[in-house]
Amino acid sequence: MVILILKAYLLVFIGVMVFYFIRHFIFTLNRLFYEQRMCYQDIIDSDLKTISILIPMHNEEKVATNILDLLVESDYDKDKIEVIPINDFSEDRTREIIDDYGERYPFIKPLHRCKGERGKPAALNEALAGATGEIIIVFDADYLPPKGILKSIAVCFNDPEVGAAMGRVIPVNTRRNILTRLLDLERTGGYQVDQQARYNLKLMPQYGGTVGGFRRKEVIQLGGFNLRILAEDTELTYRLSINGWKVIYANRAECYEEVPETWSVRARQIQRWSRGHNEVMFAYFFPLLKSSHLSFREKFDGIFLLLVYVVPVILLTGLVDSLVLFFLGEMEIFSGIFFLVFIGAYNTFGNFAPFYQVGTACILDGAIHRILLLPFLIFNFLFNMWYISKGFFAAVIDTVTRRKAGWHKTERFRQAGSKGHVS
Amino acid sequence: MSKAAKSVILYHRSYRKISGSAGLFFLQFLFIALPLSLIIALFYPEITLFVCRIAKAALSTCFPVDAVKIIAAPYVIGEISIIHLPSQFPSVLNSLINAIVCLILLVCLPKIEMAKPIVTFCMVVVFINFVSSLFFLFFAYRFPYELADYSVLYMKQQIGIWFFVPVIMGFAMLPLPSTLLSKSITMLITVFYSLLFGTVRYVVFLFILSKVSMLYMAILFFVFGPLVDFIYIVGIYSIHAMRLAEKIKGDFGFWKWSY
Amino acid sequence: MMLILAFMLLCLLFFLPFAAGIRELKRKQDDAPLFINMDYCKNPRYFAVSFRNLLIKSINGRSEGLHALQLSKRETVQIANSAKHTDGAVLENVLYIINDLSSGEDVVFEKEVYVRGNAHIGAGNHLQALACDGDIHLLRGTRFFRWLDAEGGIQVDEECDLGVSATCAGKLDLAPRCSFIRLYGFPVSTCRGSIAGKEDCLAGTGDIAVFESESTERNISKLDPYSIKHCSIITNTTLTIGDHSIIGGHVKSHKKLIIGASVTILGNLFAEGDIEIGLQSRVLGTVFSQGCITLKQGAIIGTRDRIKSVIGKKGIFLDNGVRVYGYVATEGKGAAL
Repeated sequence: MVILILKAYLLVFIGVMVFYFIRHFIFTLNRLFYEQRMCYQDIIDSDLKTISILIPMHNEEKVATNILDLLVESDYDKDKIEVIPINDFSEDRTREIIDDYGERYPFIKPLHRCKGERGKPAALNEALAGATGEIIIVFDADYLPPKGILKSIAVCFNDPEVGAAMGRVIPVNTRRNILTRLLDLERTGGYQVDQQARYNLKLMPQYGGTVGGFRRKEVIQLGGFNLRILAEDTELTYRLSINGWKVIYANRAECYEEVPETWSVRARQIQRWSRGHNEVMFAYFFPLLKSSHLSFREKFDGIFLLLVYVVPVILLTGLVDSLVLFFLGEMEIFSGIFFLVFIGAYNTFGNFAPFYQVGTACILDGAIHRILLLPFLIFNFLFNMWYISKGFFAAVIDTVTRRKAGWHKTERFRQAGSKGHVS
Repeated sequence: MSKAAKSVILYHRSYRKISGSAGLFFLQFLFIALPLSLIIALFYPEITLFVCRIAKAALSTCFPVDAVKIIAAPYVIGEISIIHLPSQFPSVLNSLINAIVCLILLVCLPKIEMAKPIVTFCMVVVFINFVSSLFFLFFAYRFPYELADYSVLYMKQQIGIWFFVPVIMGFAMLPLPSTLLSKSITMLITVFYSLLFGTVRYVVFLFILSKVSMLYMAILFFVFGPLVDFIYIVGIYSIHAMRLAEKIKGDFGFWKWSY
Repeated sequence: MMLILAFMLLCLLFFLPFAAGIRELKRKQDDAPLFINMDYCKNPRYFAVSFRNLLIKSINGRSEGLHALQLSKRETVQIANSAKHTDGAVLENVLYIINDLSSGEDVVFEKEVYVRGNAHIGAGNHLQALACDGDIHLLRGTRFFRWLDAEGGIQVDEECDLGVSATCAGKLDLAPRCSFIRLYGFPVSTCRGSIAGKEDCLAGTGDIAVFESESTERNISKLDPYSIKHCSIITNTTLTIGDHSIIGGHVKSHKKLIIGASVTILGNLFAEGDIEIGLQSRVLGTVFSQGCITLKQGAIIGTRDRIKSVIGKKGIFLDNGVRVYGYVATEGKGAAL
């Protein structure tokens, strides 16, 4: 009986992997050949919405001036903009830096937090309460927004159905080491192909919590950000979607970001993402299925998206399962198709985008030699699987015991005083 | 109008695309990838026999002549050929030493902050070896495989790999807008590489299991099995894609926009 | 020995796929971040503005005559006080005209032209690009390969091809059977002469703000004539709005949108499919379609003092008497009918 269950689990696991493979392949074909759904960046409209730009900052002295300087140079009407850098319990010079900008520019309104809950969701909620813009645009402190990006994002909300809009994230510190180059490849595949294909196919592009915006009043009406969930961006995606709003993806709204430069930092980041995402999965799995505002394929893909940080756990348990079957002498029937385990694993979740999706995205981007780094993504495979699984089990404990996760910001690597971006 | 007239501006990467369709892809898959898989499916008895002959020739230099045998085993509709060699089971001391070393490594490896992916990889290898060591320490008599059984497992797995390599490469590469000739050549190179790799790996693994210890069978099967095959699939794909990217760079007429 | 060779071969086969990547890691040929133009802003007159700035900077007070100057590359620039080109002439250089330009029929301008005065372009001319600080008048059959821009207005006669972009600070007036991709003007118009019709009847039109409706109605497929809705409408089906209706909000359809005659919509229109705006209808907001947009006779988009857009991914067709205050853009075919 036990052996039967173990074998059945392996078959189910292989089936799930094949499903994800097909999904990613469809996305790749769609992005390469089929009609691309334009976002709204071409719209020129003098009736700009008022926007509030929120920048959560915890000990961001290395990067704070870069983003604030760039926002000052933005082409958005300054009488329709407010920038709220949120000093979230900082212990470095973040307070002094943002106060200085606040004194020099009337549209920059620093918010200092030194009591209450720490963390991005809490910081955003407090800022939301005082923000006046119709649209909220969020940037992480290490981001480098180009001049025109605020209009590109804000104009998306001319569409009455749009609840949130997400732009494209491009790593700027790719030159640092092999890790940053591999993360650049992952981002490329994830945005240029995966997100855009999901937008083309009217599925569920994800709001990523930065380089993106949402409607202030509607999010407040829906209760603001949930303090119990680490992945406030994924949570917002699902909360808006099940309540009839659309999340759209603006591939033209590109912004530089800083990716982790050490594997330890990356491990913590990916573990946090997994934990937060799985908290959302537990909270929204059934509400997603029950929502009357979503089409069948939105729900179908929404489930795939929810489970994306569960798959490595299934993979890990699948490997353990096959190890047990191996020592029990029951691998005979599977040895021919065991390869499919790794097909699925590597194609679907060895990385956040399978290798051919990354390759396709690089070709679309006009990148050339970086494609040769694809074989190195194999090193991410087990690394991702391990840390994502850790995040998953932490999310299980969070959900069962109602434990609240502590917020840990990703470490910054930029040197204070540098411009940060490619001139 | 003279050639100097510039009427085309290179499209931004955000919404550019290429000509093609799913139908065209499936046609190419049918004529380039599928035939190679079918060859494997139809001729695997002959292929495995050829592989075994090479393996026998290589292994006969290290083993007595009578020790290395090619035998047949049933598989699906035909038979596969496998190499039969004497098994080398670990002693209790050997298993104990392996277990202790693995335990120490399992405790120490997580403390290493650098090169975490390699550390993680090592931890998986060490963990599997630890489980194997424990198994041989306490349940050696229940180990279900002789070397011949491993041979069968390996060969069946390898047939699966050889069958799916054109399929995976087909899905990955055939949508790209390279020429049919370059796609066919790349596909053939991949299949040949796979056959060569599978054969050489077979020889080396059999040597390890027969001369060193069967304790390492689990690692060889799980860690250095199909996962490693992906490396050359992705490697060959990346060279193909890079050369394509280089060729189309700046080719204004190549791209389409939006629809 | 054989086994040693086999082992070495296995290692080689294992590490060989990494070789090209290792080479790239060492050489760093492609390790720069993807380029983002940090100064990029959506400016419909971008080509003209950057060309003017570049040319003026390069000319730097030089006198009339031929000059070799560095623009985006080395170019021969002809500076003239004014220019009048005869039928069939071929001009091979970049032109900088201090006053007015006038050309006969079938003249070919192979390079960009900058006119500080007015430009009168004869029938059948071919131009690369034209920047003009005054007004532009294009006679029948003129063809642009790239762009034209005027600080004044642009008047376009029949059967002209306006290239990638035709923009101006004043009125852009199109005659029938002109083709375009992007237009920008105040307004972009297919009616000749003074602006008449419905717009004059709407007193204080410039004061009407785009309505921000608080409520939304969903999944309607048809509105009867003379309907009045004080809300936005979002629907998954084709929506037909009957004649003389008034919608006090935005309209979004996941399929087609068919607006009847004399309809007034105070908000924006969005559709995944085609949009058809009927006779004498009025939309105060932006019109966006992933398909084609057809503006029937007398349709007006936007208001005098606001910039709005008409964006039809696959095509835009403007009937006679249409006015758009602002930007018109398509990735497909644009035509004045």
